[in-house]
Amino acid sequence: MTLTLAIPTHNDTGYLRRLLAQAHGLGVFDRVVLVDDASDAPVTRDEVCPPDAWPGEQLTILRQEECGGPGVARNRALEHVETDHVLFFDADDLLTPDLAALARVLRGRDFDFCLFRHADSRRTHWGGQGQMPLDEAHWRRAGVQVGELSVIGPAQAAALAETANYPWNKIYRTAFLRDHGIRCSETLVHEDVELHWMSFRHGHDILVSDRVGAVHFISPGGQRLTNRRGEERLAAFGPMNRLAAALAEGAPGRLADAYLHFVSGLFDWMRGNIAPDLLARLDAAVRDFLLAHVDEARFARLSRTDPVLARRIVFQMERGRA
Amino acid sequence: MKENIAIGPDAQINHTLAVLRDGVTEGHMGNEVQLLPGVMLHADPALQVGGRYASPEGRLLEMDVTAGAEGGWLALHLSLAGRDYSDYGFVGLACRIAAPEPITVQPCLRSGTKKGFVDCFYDKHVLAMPEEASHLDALSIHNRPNVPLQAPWRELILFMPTHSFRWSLLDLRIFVV
Repeated sequence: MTLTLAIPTHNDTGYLRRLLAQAHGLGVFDRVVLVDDASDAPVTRDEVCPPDAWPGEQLTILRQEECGGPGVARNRALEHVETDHVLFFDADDLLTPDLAALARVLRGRDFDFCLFRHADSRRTHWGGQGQMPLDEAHWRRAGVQVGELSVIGPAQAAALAETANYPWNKIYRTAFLRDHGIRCSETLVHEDVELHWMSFRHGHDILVSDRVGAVHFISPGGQRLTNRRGEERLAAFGPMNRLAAALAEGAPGRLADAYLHFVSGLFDWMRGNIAPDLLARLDAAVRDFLLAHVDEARFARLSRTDPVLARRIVFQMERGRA
Repeated sequence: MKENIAIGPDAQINHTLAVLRDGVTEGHMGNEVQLLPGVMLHADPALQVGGRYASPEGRLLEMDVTAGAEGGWLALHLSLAGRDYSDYGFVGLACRIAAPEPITVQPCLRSGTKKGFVDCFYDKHVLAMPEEASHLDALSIHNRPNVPLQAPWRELILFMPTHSFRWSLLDLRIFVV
C-alpha cells in the first residue's frame, strides 16, 4: 500500500510544520499533497517542511489564489494523488502512532476505505478521552467499538454513517473515490457531508478499526470555517439535497433513512450555529428539503420504524411554515 | 525495542511488555500459553478454555475466550524481578483496556513464600467497557501484611472472568517505585 497525506490549509503555517514533522516521523506516508487555499502569504516548503523531510516530489504544494474552502482544496489534492491510497487530514489536527500501525496492518488488504477512531479535544477538556458520546453511541450500535479490524455489513455501515461526517478518519483507496466520482462539496462549510455519505453509499469493502488514528482539536471561539454563522450555512443545502436524492435512488433504504436521521439532527445544530437574521431562511430551506425527500409513503413508514424522527420532521416542517 | 538497558525491579517486565507490544503474534487459547518468557496465560483445565489471542502491532493482547465448562481461574501472569522491596513504596500498574461487553479483571500481586505464595489483591477492579478506558492503581508495600518485603519470586497477575468473553489489553505498564 502506498499512501498520500492530503492537507488543505489556510494560514496554518505553525500547525503545518508540526503535522509534517509528525507525519514524517511515523514513516507510513509516501507523499504529501498540500493545497494552500489562498493563505495570506503563500506556503513555502522551507517554511513548513523539516530539513531532510519530504524531499523532491514527495511533497507537492499547490496554491489557490482564491479561497474556496477545504472541499475545493481536498478535491484538488485528490487530482494530484499518485499513490493507491489517500488520507485527507486537517492541518491543525494530529496523527497518532496507532495510525501508523493501522496503515501497516492494512498493507495487502483489499478495501474501499477504512474508518478509524479518533480522540476529540472536547472530551479531553471534560476529563475523558476518545470520541464524542454520540459518535461512541453509533460505534456501539454498529458493534465495532472493540477490535483492531472489522469488516462491516450494510446495517453497520448505516449506523456508522451517522457519525460526525469527518473526512480525516478514513483511509481511502484512491481508485474507489475516482471510480465513483466521490468528492467533497465545494461549499465553505459542511463540505465533507457528501464525501462521507457517498463513501458509505458506494463502499462494498468497508473496514473499521478501533485504533485511535487522529486527535481532533476544536476551538469553539476560533476563526476557522467551521465556526462561521453566515450565508455559507445555507449554501450547504444544494449538496445535501443532491445527496438525499442519490441515497434514495430506487427505493429509500437503510442508508437513506440514516441520512434523513442525520440531517434532521444537523438542521437543529445549524439553528444554533447561524446568525439570528438567517433563521427564517434556514427553517424554510429545511421545510423545502423535507417536502422534497419525504413523501407520504416514506413518512408513513418512518412513523412506524422511527417515530421520534417522524415527530421531529413534523416539528421542523411546521417551524418552516411559520 | 531489542535490548533492555534499564535497571530496577520493574525494568525487565516493562521491557518484555514492550517486546510484546512491538511485535505481532497470535494463537489459540489453551491451559498454558507462553506469550514471552515471563508472560504466561494460565487457565484451570476444568474451564475447557478455547478461543484465540492476538498481539497486534502496538498493542499488548486481544483475547476472544470461550469457556466450555465451569472452572476456577483464568489469568495473565507477569513475572516481576526484585526480591527485596524494602526500599520501595508502591507496586502499581497502569493500563488501557476495552471490551465489547463490560467485564472486570482483578489485579493481584503474588509473592513467593517458604510454604508457597501469598496473594495481595489490588483494591480496585479493572473495569473494561466498549469505550476504551485507562486504569491506574498501586499497592502500598509497607502497610500490607500480605506483601512480604522479601520474596524469592513475585508475579503480577490479572485474573480474568471464568466465562466466555472478549477483552483488549491495549497497553500495560508496571511500576515499582
